[in-house]
Amino acid sequence: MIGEILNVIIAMSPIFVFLYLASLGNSLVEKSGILNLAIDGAYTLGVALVFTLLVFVNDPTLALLITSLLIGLLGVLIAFLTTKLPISHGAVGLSIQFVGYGLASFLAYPMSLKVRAERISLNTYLTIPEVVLTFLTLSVVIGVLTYLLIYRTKLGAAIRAVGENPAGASALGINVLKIRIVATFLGYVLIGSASSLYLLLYTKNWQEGLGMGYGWISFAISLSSGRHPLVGIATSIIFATLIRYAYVLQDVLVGYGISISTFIVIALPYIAAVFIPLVVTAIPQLRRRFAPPKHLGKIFFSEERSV
Amino acid sequence: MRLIVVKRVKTSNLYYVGIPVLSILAGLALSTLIFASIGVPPDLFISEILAGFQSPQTLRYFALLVILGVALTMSFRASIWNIGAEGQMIWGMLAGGYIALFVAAQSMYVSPSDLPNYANVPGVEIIDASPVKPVISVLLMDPSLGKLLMVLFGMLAGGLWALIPAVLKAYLDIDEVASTLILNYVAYQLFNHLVSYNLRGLSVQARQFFRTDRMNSALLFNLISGTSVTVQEVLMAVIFFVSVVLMYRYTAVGLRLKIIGSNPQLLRSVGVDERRYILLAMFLSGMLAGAAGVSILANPGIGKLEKIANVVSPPTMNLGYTAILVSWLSMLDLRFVPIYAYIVASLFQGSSLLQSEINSLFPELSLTGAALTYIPIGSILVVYVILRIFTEYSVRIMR
Repeated sequence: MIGEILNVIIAMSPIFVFLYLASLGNSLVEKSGILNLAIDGAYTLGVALVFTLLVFVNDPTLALLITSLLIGLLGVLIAFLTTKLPISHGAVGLSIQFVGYGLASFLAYPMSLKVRAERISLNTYLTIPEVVLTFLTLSVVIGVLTYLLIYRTKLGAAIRAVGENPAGASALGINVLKIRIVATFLGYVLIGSASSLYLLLYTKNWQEGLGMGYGWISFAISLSSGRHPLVGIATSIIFATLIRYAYVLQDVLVGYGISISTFIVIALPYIAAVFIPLVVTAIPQLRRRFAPPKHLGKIFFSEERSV
Repeated sequence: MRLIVVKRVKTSNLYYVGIPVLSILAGLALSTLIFASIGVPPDLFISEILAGFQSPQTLRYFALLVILGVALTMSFRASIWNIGAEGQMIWGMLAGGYIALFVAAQSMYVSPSDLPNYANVPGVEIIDASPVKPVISVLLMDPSLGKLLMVLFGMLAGGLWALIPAVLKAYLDIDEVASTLILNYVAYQLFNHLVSYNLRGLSVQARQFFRTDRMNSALLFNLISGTSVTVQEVLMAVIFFVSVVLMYRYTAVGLRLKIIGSNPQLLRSVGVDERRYILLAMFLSGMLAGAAGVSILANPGIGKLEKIANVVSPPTMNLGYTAILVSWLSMLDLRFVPIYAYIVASLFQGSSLLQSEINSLFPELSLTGAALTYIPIGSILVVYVILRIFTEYSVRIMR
């Protein structure tokens, strides 16, 4: 019995890890008031970057670290543009998403041809219990740390203040730009590591378009957990189960004479991503508690300002 | 010395034209640099992009982008960010395909010995002359009526699909950017399901192929000679453009659709339920996208639906995303939509010319279509989004 439960945990862990880390990153970014619509582009780019780097450095951990750092820097750029200039967060996010999609194919496609032609074997993480459980523990620890950071530290208070009321926070002497840069950098580092682990721990190889859509699933997880790091654990488990066991559901349903196609199985997490946030809005208590930061996605710009 | 950003009293008209043009140039320069970094000669890049402006193929993308540009501008003006035109086009294709393959015409098996008898029967077309199981398509109604039904049902399907995020937005306040985008992925997979099972063709014998039959050619749209654009596509672009412009100018509905974008409180205070107008804006937007989907399907170059092998290259050719560029560059002003639709169509065509050119000249560079379309489109968008602030703000230098 215990052995079976452990097997289930091990089978679901890789999926949980990449979903949870990215949703954590999204929560951190959005807590600071920046609407994170670039997430899918950053995710797809991260997957392509880690693959490209892996071919060069042949060390998964090093590739993961460099990718996380680079994606983190992308976050800094987004924080700078949306805070320093009176630009729509949505517009910046979407534009960067498209650049991300393009750069992902641009970087990784030639590399994937090279890998195939020269029969390079990729040095990804082994999916053995020790490795998988280490990453599982690590991601939960990071989740708890993120919770402590947001709700128990001075920096976290500043991040929340900047998200709720940047003008007020600024009047109290908080440097809005600095706080947002820190929050977005950390958030995007998490998104970068999540996308790296998606490849290193789960797909183990790259094909064009890999990762597209998973950023949005993580976005939906973060949204439906009210951007709360600990609630996110539960939501991520739901989505991980859906991704891992939808095929089992398919088999079970066949037993009852209902056949759903593989395509529906692929679509399930996306359908859930649209409709699970509804549960939150439908329940009044949750709706109040999970309300987005008041200034999320709004332009923070005093009428006249020096740049 | 300091730079000071000051809000303008009046939005600047000069920048209305200058900024989109500057963004296109700067975005293209940026992409030239990106591609040059791996060895694409800048002069090749520029000459192929310029060739896109004169290519007869461009007209097809132009017509589609006018339809989609009008569709998106309608929802954007109502402050509803419909990024789901891709999914709405997919549903347009599916509904149009259903009408074309099962209602307006029908495929059926005939015995191989009978096949020659069908060769010259009007309204009957041999779809697959296989010696074992030949397939014919029989017209069941007047082809012009069939085409009309295809367009109408395609529009209805696109509109209904757009209503899902619209209801979520209007009644439950769920952000429509994320939901429309995620629903695109759902639409792609449902398309795959329907094409592989419910709409799967009789002529598809091999088990691993998932596609519909070829449409009866009487139901295909009519090409304008020398181009790949169809008469019906152009007609739709003109009709939609003119009627939407007239709707905004002369009707109360059009006025309200404009006002929910800028001042929803006003609508509420005069007793209008603004949620209904959110639904209407999305429904109309989805309908036009659905029509664009039908015209992609009914183009004689396509004429069938095939399983999407990779979400990077759906049958919608990512035009639903590309049209965002058209709408934004036009500053959400319908009058500019045809102009920027032409420019963006040329860039789109230019990048596919560039791809085939690179594949033949420098096969070792191995650039994909996704890289060649998303990088220029994304770069132009990023520059545009940043420069756009100059319409409302001015920058002064203080010493």
